[in-house]
Amino acid sequence: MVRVYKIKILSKLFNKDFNIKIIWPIVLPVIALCIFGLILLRSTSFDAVGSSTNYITFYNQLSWMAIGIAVFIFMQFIRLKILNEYAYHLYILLLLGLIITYFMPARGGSSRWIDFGFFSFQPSEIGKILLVCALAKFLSDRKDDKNQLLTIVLALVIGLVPSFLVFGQPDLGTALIYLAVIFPMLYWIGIRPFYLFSFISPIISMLSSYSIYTFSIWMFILIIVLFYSQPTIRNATFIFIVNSCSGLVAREMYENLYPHQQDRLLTLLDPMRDRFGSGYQVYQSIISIGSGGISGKGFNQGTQGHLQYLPEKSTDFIIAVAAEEFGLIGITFILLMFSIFTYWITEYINKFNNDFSSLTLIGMFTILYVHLIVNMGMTVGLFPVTGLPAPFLSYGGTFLITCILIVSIINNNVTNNI
Amino acid sequence: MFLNFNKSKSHRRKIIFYTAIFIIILLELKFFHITVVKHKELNVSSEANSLRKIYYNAPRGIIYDRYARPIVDNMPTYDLKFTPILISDNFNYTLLSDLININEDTLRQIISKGKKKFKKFDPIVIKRHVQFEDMSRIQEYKLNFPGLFFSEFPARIYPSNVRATHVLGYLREVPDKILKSSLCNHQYKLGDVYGETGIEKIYECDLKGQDGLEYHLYDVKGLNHGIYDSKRNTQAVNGNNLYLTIDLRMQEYAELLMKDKKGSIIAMDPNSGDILAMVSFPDYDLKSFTGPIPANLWEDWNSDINNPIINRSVQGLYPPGSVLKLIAASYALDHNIISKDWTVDCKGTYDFYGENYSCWNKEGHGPTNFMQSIRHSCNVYYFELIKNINIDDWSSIAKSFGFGNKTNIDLSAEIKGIIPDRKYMNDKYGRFGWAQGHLLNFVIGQGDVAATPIQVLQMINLIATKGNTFEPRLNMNREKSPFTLKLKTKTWNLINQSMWEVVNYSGGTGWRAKINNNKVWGKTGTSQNPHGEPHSWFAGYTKLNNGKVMSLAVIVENGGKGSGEGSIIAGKLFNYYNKLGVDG
Repeated sequence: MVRVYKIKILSKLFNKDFNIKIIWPIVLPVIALCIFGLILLRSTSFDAVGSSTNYITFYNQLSWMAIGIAVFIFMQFIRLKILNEYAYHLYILLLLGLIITYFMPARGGSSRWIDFGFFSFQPSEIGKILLVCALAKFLSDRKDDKNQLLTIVLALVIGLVPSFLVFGQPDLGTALIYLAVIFPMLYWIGIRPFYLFSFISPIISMLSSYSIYTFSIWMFILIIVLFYSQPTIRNATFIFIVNSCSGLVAREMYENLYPHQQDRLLTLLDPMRDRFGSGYQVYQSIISIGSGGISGKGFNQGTQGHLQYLPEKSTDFIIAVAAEEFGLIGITFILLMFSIFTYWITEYINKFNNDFSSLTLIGMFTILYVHLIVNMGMTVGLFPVTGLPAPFLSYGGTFLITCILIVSIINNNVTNNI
Repeated sequence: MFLNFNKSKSHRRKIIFYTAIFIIILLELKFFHITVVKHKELNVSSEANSLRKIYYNAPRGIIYDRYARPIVDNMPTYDLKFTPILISDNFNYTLLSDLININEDTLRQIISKGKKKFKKFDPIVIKRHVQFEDMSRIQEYKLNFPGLFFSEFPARIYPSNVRATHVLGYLREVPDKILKSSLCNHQYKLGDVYGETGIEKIYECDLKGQDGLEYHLYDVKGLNHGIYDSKRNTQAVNGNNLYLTIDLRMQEYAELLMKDKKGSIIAMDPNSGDILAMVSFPDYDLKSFTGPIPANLWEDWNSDINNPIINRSVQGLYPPGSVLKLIAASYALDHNIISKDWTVDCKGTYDFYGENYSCWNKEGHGPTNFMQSIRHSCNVYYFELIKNINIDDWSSIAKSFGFGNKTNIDLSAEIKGIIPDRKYMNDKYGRFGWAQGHLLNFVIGQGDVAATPIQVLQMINLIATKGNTFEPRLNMNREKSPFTLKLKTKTWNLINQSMWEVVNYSGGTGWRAKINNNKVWGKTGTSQNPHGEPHSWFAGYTKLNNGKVMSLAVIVENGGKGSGEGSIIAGKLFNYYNKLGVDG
């Protein structure tokens, strides 16, 4: 009896036929980015300062990558349907995990980890994948439901609950990711863009409310969109009122933010506002990028990075190191690799016949994409310093494994569904 | 149009792809803007972050005398600094405060301020210009002062026995005015020194040299990471050495003679314009401090009523007294206004339209011809003589002898002096407010007439060389520039003859300047001083058997008659020069 049960579990967990295929168009750009990331960490781990000439970050990242390769290969044997079957269970586990973090001692001002003593675990990292699965299951089940608004609201609820939990840790960046994955998935399943727009527009209203000019411009755009989308008068009026109010409420909300979040928001509007205070990191990052020029200062030659003027150079601002030492060419390489990655994702997605799989793919891609865009935008002062690392490039074991996990799921997905 | 967005899956796929790529392109453009458009500006910011200029102070040029004996040399002084991060609890504040004479509380303040700085490796200066002995004393207790170190800064030392204070001049830290502009096409930096007076000032551009410059990499904490590989690095270039015309032996002896007196001695070679010695007392002691002059010392000198900072040789204005009679005499002789046999009967006083002018000898010199008038320095003779010369001619001959003009000696702040001419008198007294009577004062070097010792000596140079001398110079390598005056040879001979008689004839006022070889020419002067004893002048020259000439101007403030102090000092110097000349 026990034996049969065991076999049952194994057959649920693993594919019957071991069909390992690597989708090179997707994996190669990732490998290229990983190698580039290693080169950058080799540079940042060499500090002329003090004793840190031991390349510890470099070798750590290298060993995480070795683990990553093992994870990748292992994941190819997994029967991915299990994610579909147990999506909600995993989602509940995620919520529990996030709640537990609140009772854990805080580290560096935030409690993101569950501490097992010898090992600490950050549920919000793996949670990105779990949330995508839960949303994918939910949306693929409701695909033919005509009541699109209810679908959106429920999908938002699924995303917002863990998002708020993460936001309270506090981890603004990850909370943002949780929200960001919802909309591309909704769009992919066929929700009217106008509905999505209606849900996103209040957020833009809030952001634009910092000055009367941007708010006016935004309201003007809103009216034009409303006019061309031809909703009922009642709906249009409702959306308009919601937007106006959210703009007004935003300032009130701003007053209730943590001071460091207020700082980040203000620095978002003008990173040079306080270049020796809250804008210092971004200011130094922009100096690093700008001083690199087209071809950069050369490998290991970056003065900003090596002389410690650039803070968080191995994690948040690894892109600035890339720009300082390899210039615009290095940046273009990163963006080009990611564009290739993007292209092939959108190529393969079309061939899927399974909604759950294609939704997972979109969600997974969105996680990586938003990380990269927000991180790069952050280094040039377009986004606030949210602490989102650059996928495959930034130093950090948990995040790297999460990224590789995502790629291996994508690879498995594509292999088994086409 | 929005309705068309979700036509089909392949359509949505395209929308997703293009949106993603569009955002990527926007990012790429932003990076392009920063790396290419703003590259230059941000590269400057990057270098401002990490590159720091390290200067190596170039030693100033050494100053030698005419025989290449060093007068001013360099010696390193030391700046006492500390690295904040290295200062630990066992730093002995009390001991250090004893060693460097800084209040312990002040010391603690400086150091705790330094330790609070973010740049914990950035050195902070505690005391500048510490001398070698003090430095080595502090080094003995090195273990008590973790984080302390010294950096070199070149300073002046004066290895010879002479003071030559006013000739050499002193160094000061450059003031803001020069920091903001520049000097000698050179951008000075905070803490640099420059010559503020004397030779150090005039030849600042030559003496200064070029500081070496290295670009070093500094990290965010202020730790030096060594030389930045840059073509902009330069080596320090020593300042040019300077050879002065000064003869150290003459200078030393002249200073000895002038000790505890006020006044000036200048010795020159009329055949080249070389200044052999230049003394102005009272002076200040350049050896009393190291490095640039301390502010409190400078203020003391400036407020001293004896004016030690004034170089009396070129800045001291005195009535030249009877010495000036020579110019009226040479004019009158040259223009045949008088012959050498023209005689005036001196009765001791002289009545000029009711005004009473007197000779220094109240008893009168009796009938006096030209030779006697110079020999005895008879005033009445010149009162009579000047009746035949108008003020224009008199002031113009005085100016041809160099009075009323700068001599162009290579020292700063030289003063012109005053030779009254028609314009000066009109301006001062009004057109009808002055008369010939004033000239009676001028001709004997009193009244408005004022001259510097170097001007008096220049007149002697002209006489000694019969009108073919050179402008005074202190730098051996400065080109000689001629200073000439054309008079008849007969006139020059008569003037020289009369000056010889002053010293060598019995009853000559300059008899005390006589030396064994009988080769001294001179003229004494007594300039009236309303504040006390008159100033005592002697101006003259001597010739060696080998043809060498030395001219001399001596003024001793409140020294009494010219035949007194002035002549005595002159005699000793002539003797000394003679002896040197024999020795070689």
